[in-house]
Amino acid sequence: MNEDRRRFLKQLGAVAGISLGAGYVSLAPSGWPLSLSDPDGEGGKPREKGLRLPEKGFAVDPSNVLPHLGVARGADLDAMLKAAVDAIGGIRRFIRTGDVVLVKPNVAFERSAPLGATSNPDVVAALVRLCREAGAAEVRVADNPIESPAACFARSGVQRAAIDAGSEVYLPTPSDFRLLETPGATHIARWPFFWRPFAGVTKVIGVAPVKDHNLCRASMTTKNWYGLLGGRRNQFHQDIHGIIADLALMLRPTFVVLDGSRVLWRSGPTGGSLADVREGRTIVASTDSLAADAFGWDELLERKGEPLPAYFAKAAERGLGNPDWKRTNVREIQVG
Amino acid sequence: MEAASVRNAPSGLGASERRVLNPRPYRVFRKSYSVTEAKAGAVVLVGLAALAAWVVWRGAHPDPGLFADPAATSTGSVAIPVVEGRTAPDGPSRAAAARAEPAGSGPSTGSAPTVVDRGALPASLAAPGWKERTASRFDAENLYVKIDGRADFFLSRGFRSLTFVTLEGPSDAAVDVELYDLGSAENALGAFAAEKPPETKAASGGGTSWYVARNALFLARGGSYARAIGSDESPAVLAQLEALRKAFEQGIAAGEKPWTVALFADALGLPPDRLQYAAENAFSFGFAKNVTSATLDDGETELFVLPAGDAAKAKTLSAKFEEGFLSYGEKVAAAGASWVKDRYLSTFSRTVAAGTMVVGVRGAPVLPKGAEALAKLEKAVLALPPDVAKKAAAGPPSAAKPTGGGYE
Repeated sequence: MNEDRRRFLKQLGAVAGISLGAGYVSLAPSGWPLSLSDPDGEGGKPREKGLRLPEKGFAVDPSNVLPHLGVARGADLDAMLKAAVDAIGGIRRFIRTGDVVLVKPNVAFERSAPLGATSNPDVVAALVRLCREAGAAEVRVADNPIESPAACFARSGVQRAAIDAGSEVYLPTPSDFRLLETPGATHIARWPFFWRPFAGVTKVIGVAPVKDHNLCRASMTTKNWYGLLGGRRNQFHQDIHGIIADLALMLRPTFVVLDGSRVLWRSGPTGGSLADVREGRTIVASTDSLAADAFGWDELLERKGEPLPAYFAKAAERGLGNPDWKRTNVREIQVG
Repeated sequence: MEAASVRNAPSGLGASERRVLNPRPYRVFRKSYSVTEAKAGAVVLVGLAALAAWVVWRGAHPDPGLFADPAATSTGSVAIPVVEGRTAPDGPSRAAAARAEPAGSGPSTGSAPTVVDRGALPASLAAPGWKERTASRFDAENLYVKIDGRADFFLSRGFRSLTFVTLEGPSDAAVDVELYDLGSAENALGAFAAEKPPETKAASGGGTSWYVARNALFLARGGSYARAIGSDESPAVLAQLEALRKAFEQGIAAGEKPWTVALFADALGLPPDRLQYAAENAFSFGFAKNVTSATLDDGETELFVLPAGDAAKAKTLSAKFEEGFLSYGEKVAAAGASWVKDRYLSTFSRTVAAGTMVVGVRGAPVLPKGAEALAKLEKAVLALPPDVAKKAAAGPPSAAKPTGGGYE
């Protein structure tokens, strides 16, 4: 009888153990050891190896002598852009013969250029020409707009302007996105990234309009990198300042151009009425996105005296720039 | 032998018990297999091996589509990476470019849901010489596809759907029409007023409020808010905007006049486009829901009203407002009433219960003027028919909320 009871207890224990084990592996939260839980189905997908951008980004060697911020005012966009870039060392400081350059405009919305919701196509074209003249082997223009890419690039005029100036335009398709790893990022440590135009690229230049923004109050050169993200990026609006600080970490460009030819000073980021747009007659080139954006906040959005949006401090804390642009080396030029 | 015998023996178990607790689990009862069985087993094993090999191979060569979230390109559209003869590397041919949508098109195939209906969009929008492209609709789940960054503005104002269509005119002129169904006139007027530049005067009449700001028409009628964005300010565009205004007035139901419009516009003489509606968290007070407010001519004094349900609740809610105002001010007595003076702005606020509603004035720079406006509002509220107060307490229809996975 004892033998039977022992056997019974052993079998009972075995069944209980197996049941508990099975219950644990199936019900334990997905992060727990041996858990089979996969609520979003991601665990069943093959684990893609993430890509990384160069550790120091695409920046050139810093200079202690040259200005960080070149500000050109006037009416001739080509001359203004050249003057602004000359102020921070000239295009040949940044672009060498044979470089493959990616120009990233903001083409987020299907709006015509005068409405100020997108980069000015004439400024994009001027930038492409400048890179070409400096000896770039190839200039690519790419963005992942909010609305239909083909319609946004066409309506904004950026497509035509970029092609005529000698660049190739990359419109996103689903297979153009790869997982990008950004160590230290809060939201986008591993996130789909518009990778195809980056293949083989040696220099990256952002060219962003100056816009009011409904959520983060101002969209300029740092926010512009949002247009390289894929996936359900709209969820980042929950922490818009955090994601912009992540974007500054994700992409360290060769330099940025703040296109202040027009300023969408209210009803951003979409705008729509010409009454919301004013002439800025300013182009800024900078090796420091935060300084350029802070300049735009003060001088182009004309919000001097109002506290900067929180993303400036978040990015500055990570050592990604200096929003105190007045204390940086600034050179202002009047063109024409 | 004896031990084995004990292990294998039933040991007093009945036949049915033996089936449950098999005392000889490892015994092989039949030691040989037929050739047919062996062949069938081999076939099964080969099949399993092939299956395993296929799984391993697929694991090493995953479908690239797996890595591309449908929202990877935000619009989910399959855009064509080519532009008129200059192709991006590996891009499709020039022939493919011809299929790319021209400027002025609506969101491309896949970027917007298939058009099922036009919602409240009137049937004929195009003026002579203009033509209408295919319309598209967006709901709370995919509004970000169309106006990411601006979506929250509408989602917080009762958003239900957006119908979008582009009108194409002469000389490449275009007008983008966005018609937002915001569920109630309060929400439509609220969105209209919030987007209207302060220096712009809106026209109102026949249940429609509207204004033209250079190249664009903004209009609220019934529960709909329309924005028509012209590509420029040419006469052709302005004529199309005027045609749109007429089409909206004729084609969109004005609905019942909101009681708040009757109160602020008819009784107090304030323009309807000054009305602001906050479904919740008005003035950053968590308890302040269903609040309609309007600013007086001085641009600072704000009158507001909200239904409480009954007189007792109105008194309790009124006390909460006073408590809220006191968090950044101090109590002062003036004209036989208790007011709260903002310690930073030196403006005055006061709330009172008026029947089943709460009425208040906020941010009045001059106390007597604030008191006068509040008295007028209180009198007008008390004069409202009882059924209006009852209907007001129910509030406007609630907004369609995204249900996760979409706009989070």
